[in-house]
Amino acid sequence: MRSLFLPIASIPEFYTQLAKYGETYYPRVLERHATYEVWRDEKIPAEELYQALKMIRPVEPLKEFFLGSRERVASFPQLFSKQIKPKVIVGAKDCDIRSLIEIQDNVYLKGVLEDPFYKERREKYLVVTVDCPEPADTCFCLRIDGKPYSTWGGDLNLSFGEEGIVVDVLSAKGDEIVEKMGDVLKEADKKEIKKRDKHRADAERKLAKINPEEFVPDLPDRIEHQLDTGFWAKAMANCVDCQACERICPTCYCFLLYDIPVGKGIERIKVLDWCYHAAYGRVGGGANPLAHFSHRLRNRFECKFMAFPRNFKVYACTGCGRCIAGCTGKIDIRKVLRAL
Amino acid sequence: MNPYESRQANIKEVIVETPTIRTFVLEPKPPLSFHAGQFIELTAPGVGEAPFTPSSSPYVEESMEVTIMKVGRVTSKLFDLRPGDTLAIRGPYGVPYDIERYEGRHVLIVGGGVGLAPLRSLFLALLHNVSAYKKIHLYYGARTSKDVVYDRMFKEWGKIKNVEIRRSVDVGDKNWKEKVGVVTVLLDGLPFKPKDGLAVACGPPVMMKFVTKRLLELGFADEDIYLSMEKNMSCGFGKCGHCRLGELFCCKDGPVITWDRIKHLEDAFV
Repeated sequence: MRSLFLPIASIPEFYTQLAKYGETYYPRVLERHATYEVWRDEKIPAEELYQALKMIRPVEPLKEFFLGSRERVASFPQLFSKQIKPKVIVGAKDCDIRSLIEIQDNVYLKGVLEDPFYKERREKYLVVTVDCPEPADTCFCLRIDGKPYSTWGGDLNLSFGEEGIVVDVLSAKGDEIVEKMGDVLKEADKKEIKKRDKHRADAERKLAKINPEEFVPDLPDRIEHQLDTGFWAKAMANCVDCQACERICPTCYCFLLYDIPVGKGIERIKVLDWCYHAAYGRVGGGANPLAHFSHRLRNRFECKFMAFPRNFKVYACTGCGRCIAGCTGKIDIRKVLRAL
Repeated sequence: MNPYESRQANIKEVIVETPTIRTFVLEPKPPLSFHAGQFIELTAPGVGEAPFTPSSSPYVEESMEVTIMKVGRVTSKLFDLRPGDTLAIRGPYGVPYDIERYEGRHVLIVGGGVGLAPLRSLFLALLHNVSAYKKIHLYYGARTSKDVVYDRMFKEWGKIKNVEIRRSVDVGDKNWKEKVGVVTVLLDGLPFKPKDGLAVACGPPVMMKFVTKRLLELGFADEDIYLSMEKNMSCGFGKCGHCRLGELFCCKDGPVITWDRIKHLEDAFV
């Protein structure tokens, strides 16, 4: 793996160079949270950009770019085509890149058919991951086989050295991009990498302190056998059914297809869907296997921690903590899992 | 290939089976071939899609029959359509019946209400090579005599050597000369040993639950009980998540699933 060095002062130029590949999204701090914005060569101080990179995962999950909350996928009877342009996403953390590779790729690229639009985005989009030196109280990636830094999966990874940023080249596409950057990047010296490694170890220690306990290894069996609706109702007693946890979850993948009439034909729309919706499981005629809210609460855990690991050997959760941070009722998924 | 895209299907004929059930004879262009047990997604123009299992023989390629009960928005719109109208169709999806496993055995088919529709496709596929099976037992239950589907065909089917037919209605009337009672009454006095055969069932969830219970009591092996587990299959190919049943997705792992694969689930028939 090739490691390069990016001085803090060169971050704006680095973004400008990336933007030659495609529309580039970078993290910016907005009301104490990192959120993605499109890079338009603004005169933003390099230090401000640097501090935004150090924040925990952006508010938006990475799937927003690859799945979209609503997209046209077909039309009838007229033929349908769609052009997908390259994009660059800077700022995804390990929890986010794993949500793509270990969860969304398994759903959308494997099985009987693949989603052609997701596939094209995966091929065309460049993902620049960033280390997570300051984990928040809501972070628990370490307990779901993750790390507060990324060494695989993205195209480039940015980490924090002594005086600037260490850029690891993780893919052929990433290599091609940095080759075209000229003087913006230099070879990283050992001092920078040593400091980076120290920051990584520190971050792991902080995470272990935030989350001292491991989850039990038999979560799938425990969920399978936890059929007491009272358990779920109690565990989720403060839930107000706002569905924020599912909307911002990087691993939730469900969608719904619906048709809208356009002229004499139809357009088929794919919208992300959430299993907390009362109508999620409803079939023609009104039967609904998930009619009761406690069934839907259990269904979410069953999907993430029972069905997905049994099918794909990984939990459909990467410990990003968005569901904890976003919960109106202050429900902590870690506590629910530990109560099982 | 775009899996979300439908092809055109012209309605050739609409057959009224009962006041609430009709069979639509469709001509997909290009023709859409399928195997018994697979399903399609049919679009009611401007309203939306719903999954249906064809009721015709998979050996007839130029047209496809789909028997539909009017229960919701999509089916209500479909009932407004007439011969000559156009629909959108995509598929087929799902895993076909593994009928090579049925060879040399008794095949018990148990249908309830409109649940006979997908079973008819299997039945016709089996008839294609009827001597390959010890005997085909077609048992069917409906609410009343007015709700019996394919009534016109039962007489012909009953004449086929190697086919045994039993029918019941939940509520009898003066015109009904056959059994009265829920469909499980037909399983009394089974004319073969369960270990020499297998059972395939489709119908409302409550009927499936009690048929499965009865089949197990009779001694059918878990892996020899084939159940149509049709949940909310929106995409049809295992992505959208709605039809998940435990670790399985009804659309890509089913919709026909043997009991041994779902018996650990407490709420399989909900």
